[in-house]
Amino acid sequence: MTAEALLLLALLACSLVPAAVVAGLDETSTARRNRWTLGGAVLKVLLVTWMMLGVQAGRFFEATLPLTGTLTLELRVDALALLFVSLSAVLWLATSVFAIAYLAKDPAQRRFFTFFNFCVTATTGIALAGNLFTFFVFYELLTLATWPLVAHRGDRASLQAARLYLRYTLAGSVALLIGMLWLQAIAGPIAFGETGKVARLVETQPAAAVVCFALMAAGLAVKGAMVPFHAWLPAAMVAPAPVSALLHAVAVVKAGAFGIVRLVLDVYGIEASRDLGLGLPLALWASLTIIVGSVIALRQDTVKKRLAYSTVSQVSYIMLGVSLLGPIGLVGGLVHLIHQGLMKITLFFCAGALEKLAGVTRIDQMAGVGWRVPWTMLAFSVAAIGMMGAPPLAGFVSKWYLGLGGIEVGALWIIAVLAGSTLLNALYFLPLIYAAWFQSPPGEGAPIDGKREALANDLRQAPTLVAPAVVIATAALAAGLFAASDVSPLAWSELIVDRQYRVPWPLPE
Amino acid sequence: MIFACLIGLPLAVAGLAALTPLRWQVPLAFGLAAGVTLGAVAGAVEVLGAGPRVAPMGGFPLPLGIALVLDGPGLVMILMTSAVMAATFGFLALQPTPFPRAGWPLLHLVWVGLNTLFTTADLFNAYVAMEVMSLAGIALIAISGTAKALEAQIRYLLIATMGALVYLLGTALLYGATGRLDVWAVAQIDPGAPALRLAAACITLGILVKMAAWPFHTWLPPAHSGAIAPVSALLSALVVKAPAFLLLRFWTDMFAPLALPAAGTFLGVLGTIAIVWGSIQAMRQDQVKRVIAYSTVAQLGYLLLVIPLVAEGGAIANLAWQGGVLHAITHGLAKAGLFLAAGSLLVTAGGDRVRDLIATSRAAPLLGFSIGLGVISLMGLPPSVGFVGKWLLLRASLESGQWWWAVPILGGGLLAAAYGFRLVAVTFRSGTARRRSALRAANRPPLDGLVFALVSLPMLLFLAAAPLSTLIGTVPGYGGLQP
Amino acid sequence: MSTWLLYASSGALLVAIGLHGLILRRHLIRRILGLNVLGGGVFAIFLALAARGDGPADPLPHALVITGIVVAVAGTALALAITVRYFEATGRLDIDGPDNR
Repeated sequence: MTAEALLLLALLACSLVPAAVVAGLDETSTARRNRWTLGGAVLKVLLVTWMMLGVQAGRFFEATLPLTGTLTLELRVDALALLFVSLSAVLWLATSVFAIAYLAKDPAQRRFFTFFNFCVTATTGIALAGNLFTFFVFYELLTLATWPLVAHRGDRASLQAARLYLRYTLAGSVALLIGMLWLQAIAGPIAFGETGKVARLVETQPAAAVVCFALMAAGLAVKGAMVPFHAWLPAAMVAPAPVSALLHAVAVVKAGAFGIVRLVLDVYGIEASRDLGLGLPLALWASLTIIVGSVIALRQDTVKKRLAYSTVSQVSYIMLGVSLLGPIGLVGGLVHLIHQGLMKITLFFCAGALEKLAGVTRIDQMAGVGWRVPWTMLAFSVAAIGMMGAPPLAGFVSKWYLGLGGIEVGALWIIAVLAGSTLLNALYFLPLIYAAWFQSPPGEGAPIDGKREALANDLRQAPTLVAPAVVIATAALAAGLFAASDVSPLAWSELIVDRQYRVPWPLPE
Repeated sequence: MIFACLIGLPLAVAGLAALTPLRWQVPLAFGLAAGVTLGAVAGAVEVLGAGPRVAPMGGFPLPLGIALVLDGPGLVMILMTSAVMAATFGFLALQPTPFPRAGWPLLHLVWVGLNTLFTTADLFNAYVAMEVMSLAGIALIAISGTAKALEAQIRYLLIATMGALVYLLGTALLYGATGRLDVWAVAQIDPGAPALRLAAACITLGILVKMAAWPFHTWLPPAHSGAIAPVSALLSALVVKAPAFLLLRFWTDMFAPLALPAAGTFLGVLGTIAIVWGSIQAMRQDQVKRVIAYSTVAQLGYLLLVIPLVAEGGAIANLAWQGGVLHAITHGLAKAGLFLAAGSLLVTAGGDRVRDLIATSRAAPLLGFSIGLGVISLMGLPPSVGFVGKWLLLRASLESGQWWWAVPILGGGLLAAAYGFRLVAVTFRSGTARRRSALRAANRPPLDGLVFALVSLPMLLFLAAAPLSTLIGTVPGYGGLQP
Repeated sequence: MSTWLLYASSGALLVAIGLHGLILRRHLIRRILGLNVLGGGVFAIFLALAARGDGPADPLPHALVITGIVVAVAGTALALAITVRYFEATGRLDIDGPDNR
């Protein structure tokens, strides 16, 4: 086994080993449990950094395990995989810190952190998967690892949400599985990047290729929470806040979005997708999700539900960017994978902190809360304004590239979708920010739970609960401000499009 | 020498166990488990190195002698059996209620029958082995001692014996047509001969009864849920599996020339109905053991689906065959694990209703987690090796153009999720603090450790799928050996 | 009509009678008897097929049938033993009571 393969396995082991160790520890050994979880997370960030340097220097990371004559488990690292894996590594570290603080009094932490670590292992596997079979294996593992997190509280609402989640995801998996098997039955086994196999189908069996794409895209869209397959996501809001953060920003919806990116770029390829006419339907579907998700978000009255529908809307930006099938749009979609992760996880950290520190869960409770938990609300405001796409924040960069991408391929209606979405984002985020900073709390002078004085400085009061949000919000700010630098997510996305996919330009007309 | 370990040793230990006092039984059983496992591993090494071989029993040449085969698929099944048996022995040794002395030799006799069925290429020998296995297995049901168990037991006995006699009738007809009893006899005569078809029909029918295929399944759920948990584990994981494996071998080997599309489709339809019917019944039960027992009815249906796919021949037949055997071993390990989990639940919660699972994932985490792993294997999801099996079956179905079999294969997984996650969801319910502390006090972690070891095996085998599929090899079911 | 065919057809008749008793009767002892009649029929067919040729009868089926009889005796003994315990436990000799299905 080569050193490169070992490094890949080590990347999985960073969270798998803590999962197993935590499962074996007593409920009461909190300190050791936290050490393992955090240790794994830190180690993973270091490994990913090392790997990034390796990839830049031209090293090739691959690990394969044959299962039967025609079936291989294959892990490998390309620039796109690194994009996703670095996102998950950084956000996992932040979420671990936050989760440990948020769940400090939870009675079943051992179970929680076991599956929490499993969940990250599965996400890493999805990022590193080198062929369709491996992708599916980790995609299913992710379902299995997140189910216990959704069901964690063990009350009726949680179990109902878990049941709904399982129904949606398994139905999606069946569609994905049929699509994968059918495609490989007519094209042969496909490793990511072997787009030539599907390209040949364009001549021989275009209809079957389109149906397979539809099946796989539908299966992936369930986890990606595209309308109308999104209902599980708001229901899963009953889970603890770190779970929501993880589901929304790193793991589940991102797995769906990442899967669609892989499907278009590495299974079908840009040219075959163009020839088969897959771009426009996908773009329309993504646009529909963007608008519908935002409209429903407007009508929610709890913070977490509103954020959930906002996720439904925002994740589809990634699909939109890919569906344009042009280089600039692609950069916009890929960079939004990172930007949305950073901003949305901040929002969920803040929602959790608001709930824990100020007792706020509903939007009508938010009046004046900014002065009671200033750091939290500051991070919240930065992330929310970023989501709306105001310059110079991260969301603006995404939307700018998406818009340019639309113009580039001559789809001017994309601009209208983006403008409409921005308007709706503003409509559902600005009232929260306004209420938090500029309205007085109901019954001025009567502090809620007597916490008003005590929490004047929430960052000092509950550092591990608030700091992750502040740090990630800063990162989101930096990703926007320094988008032009060499180390920004934008630069990496451009590198992916430039180096890995070499999207042909100008478009053949 | 290898056959002495696989068949002679359990037979000898059964006799020895009948004569020795209770305190010797556990060491004796573990010695047996070690011996058989060693024999099977030695066999596997030999098969991987030198290929499979036919060994006439006692050195008498065919057609007079009895043909045993040492080949990959049989050894894979025997290794699976060893794992289940070892876990069962461990459970019996550790469980708080004592297991009667008379039970031990019966367990060993079941093992004699199983290992013979996995290696025999002789139809009459298979009949005797099936009867040894069934009668010893049925006698074990009586240990739970309830009137309900007795009723289930006698039903099982009557139906199983009837099935065996129908099988024997088929064997007699085959002997009448060919003058031989080994599986290679059929190749000598015209596959269109009516006597051969009638013989194949009787043999198949007899085995369908023995393996509790729909509509001959009604005896299974009361019998498997009526026995004590470790016995249920054997019955459900192995005793119905061995005849099913035999049927699969017959239809991929000696009956393959007469595999009319209609016969394959008929068996496939029976399998489909079994999957749907067994799963729906499993959803409606409120005793954990009955859920698991009905699940067996459903899961055995998959093995029947393999038959129409194998009839395609070529590479597709190999996919279906490997998928079928992988499914068989996954189901064996997971099913035995789940029954032992039900046994541990009885110890921990004092009952084995579905509601007795409440709060187990917190108060008896290893038990709750093991149930989850078992359910994942039944659903055929990764990281269980059952997923590889299911993937291969689906590929066989889609690549052969018989895409309709993909519907029960995938639908069965969803149905298994429905009845399986129903159990898992209950383990996640919080329960009261009092209940949790009562569960914690009564729980026996060593029992759960055994359950966990068993249900995690399919997960480990996922990574070892390459050597496993090399061992399972390709069709025909007897590996194309010649005596 | 040759002798072996007579044996074979009476064997078939016994199989039918045995199946009838096994499936349609409720009384346990009758069912067990049905099983034995069924077994006898199968054995008769087996032996008849062995005697089909012109020369002396094929000896192998005789050995097989003896083995089969031993198995059948074991099965019958087990069935009777369970029946006795079932009778002691419930006072009934039929399994037509509230079904477990």
